[in-house]
Amino acid sequence: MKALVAVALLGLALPLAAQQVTVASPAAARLRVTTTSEEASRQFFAGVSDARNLFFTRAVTHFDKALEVDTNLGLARAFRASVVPGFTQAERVATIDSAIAKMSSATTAERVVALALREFPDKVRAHALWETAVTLLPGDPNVAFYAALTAPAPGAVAAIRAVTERFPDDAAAFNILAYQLWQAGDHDAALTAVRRYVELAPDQPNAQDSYAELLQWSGRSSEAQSHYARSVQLDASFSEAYIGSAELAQLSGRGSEARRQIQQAIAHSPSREATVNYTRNVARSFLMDGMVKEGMEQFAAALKGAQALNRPKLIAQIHQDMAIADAQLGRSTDIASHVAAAAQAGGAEDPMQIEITAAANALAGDTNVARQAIQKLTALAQPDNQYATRTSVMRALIALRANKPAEALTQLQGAPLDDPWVRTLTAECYLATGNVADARALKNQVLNDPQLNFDDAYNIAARIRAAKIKA
Amino acid sequence: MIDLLSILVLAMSSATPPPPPRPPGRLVVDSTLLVRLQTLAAGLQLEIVLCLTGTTHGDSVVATGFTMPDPQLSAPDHATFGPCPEEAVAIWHNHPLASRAGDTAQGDPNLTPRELCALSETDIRTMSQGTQPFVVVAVDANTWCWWSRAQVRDLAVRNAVRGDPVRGQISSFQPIISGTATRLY
Repeated sequence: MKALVAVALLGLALPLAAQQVTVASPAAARLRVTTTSEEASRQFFAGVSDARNLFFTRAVTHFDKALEVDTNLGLARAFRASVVPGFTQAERVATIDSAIAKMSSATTAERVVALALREFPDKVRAHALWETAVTLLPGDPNVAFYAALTAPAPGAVAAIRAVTERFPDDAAAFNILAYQLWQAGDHDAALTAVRRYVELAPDQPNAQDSYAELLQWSGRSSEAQSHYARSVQLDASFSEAYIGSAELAQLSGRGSEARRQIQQAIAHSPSREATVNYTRNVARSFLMDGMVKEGMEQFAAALKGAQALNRPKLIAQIHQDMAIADAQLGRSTDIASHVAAAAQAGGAEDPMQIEITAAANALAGDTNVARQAIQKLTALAQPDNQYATRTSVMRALIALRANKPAEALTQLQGAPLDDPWVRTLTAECYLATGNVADARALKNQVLNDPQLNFDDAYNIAARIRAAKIKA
Repeated sequence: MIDLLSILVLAMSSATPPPPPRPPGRLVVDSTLLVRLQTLAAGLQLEIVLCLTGTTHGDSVVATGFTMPDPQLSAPDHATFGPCPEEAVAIWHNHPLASRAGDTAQGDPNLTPRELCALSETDIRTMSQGTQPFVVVAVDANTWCWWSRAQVRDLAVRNAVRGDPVRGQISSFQPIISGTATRLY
């Protein structure tokens, strides 16, 4: 009987409660920052927008202004540390930790965002934290963007597409969607997405740069050039657009113009580390033009810069660049010293070090050393990484050095033919067996691939080798 | 207990319900009322709820006045008020722009009025339960958006977490005929 009375009371109470009108603004489900200063808040959110649009130097300027107005705005300090060019990972983590320690009056959501920023290199941990932030702030496009950006690979396209559907006016998500669609092979959809990015963020240099890059990759060079130009017109300090222009110039055989554009990037470099990397790009441009001495001088200059910065990983990378260049150019006496110096700086068991050891020695013909390294690399090969292809390429290189093109072709069987080294070596095999037409076709595919990226040393080395094929 | 439920079900099923009246499809806000509401929307820094009152003419309702239900909580980004009377023709509430000096937690001041002119998940859940034929949201004097009750219920059925304005249902105000009422929907 008591239960029935309770049900009856509940029945009366519920309709009354339902008639109450509870409303909330969409702003309630978005990120807020703990500050009394509207200016600090404005600068913070402008910084987040620039960070999401990959304009990190300008983002840092905004975060600095926010912190000038309110030095206690811990989340601005954490965001700044996560995007500032030139920081090592250890410096980023230490700065974010320090910021979190001072966020005594911050909201739970702010703390979760700061923790997510701290974990960024570890996508699994970062994603879990960004997803928590999404739960706390379901209407916030910033946290939704970063949650999608850190989503595991199989669902990454779906995750970022969901953000564009949930927040159809949020520009930055369309940028990521465009590149992910391109990588997935849906080039038309990628171009549609990047056009939407430009529509939504016409004044963001990166929107113009991304559009230019996908146009370049589509072979639409003149349109690409105009958008790279528009990008630096919007903000001359957006250095990546100069690199895009340089890639276009190099593709059209204008190496000196390419190097002039890279010098522009250096002049607007966001950090000393970026300057070192741009200098490596100058070296690669010289080497692509067959200007060996100048190229190696630029690598030496980059090495000096990295040593001045005391960045072991960067030092190792440049020694690796030099080892591969020496191996390709037949300067075998210098290879061992660069490989050893790279191992000393970056560690002998680093996968990239093992790969470079194998590649440099396979190219130079020291097959014993190469085979040992290839064996190590084989152990690292997984279906979702590139090492299986790389070991096939190196075994094919050794076979070609031994003048065994048929064996080299066997080694390349099953390797993806869209890989520039697989194409190049297959072309060499064809040429060795008298199939000049197919050799020429493959060579031209490597050299004319519009997807040139000066940071991609593997691709550029293949182009340098392909250029020497006499077909 | 089983017997009692059976009787109730029987009673419901034995009655032949009259065909439901077609809900109004057009909301007209009297120009005098509109000016008052625009002034309120421009100046308010807290969320409030108002019940618009008026008359129904065929498929149109004309809002000519408002009452304020019992305010229980009114904050910059949420509010709880008592119920609107059943005869109200629309529920109006505001979504103030995020930036307000004096708050310790600052929202994104770069948020546009257009981005705030939408139903939140809370709005959808609450408004889908009401009986008034229209729901109106005002961000500032000039940025308003509105939904029919059916549209709000549809959002609730789809478990939508945000209800963006339907095309044509977000407006800066353009009086149809100068000095007369403004048609919202």
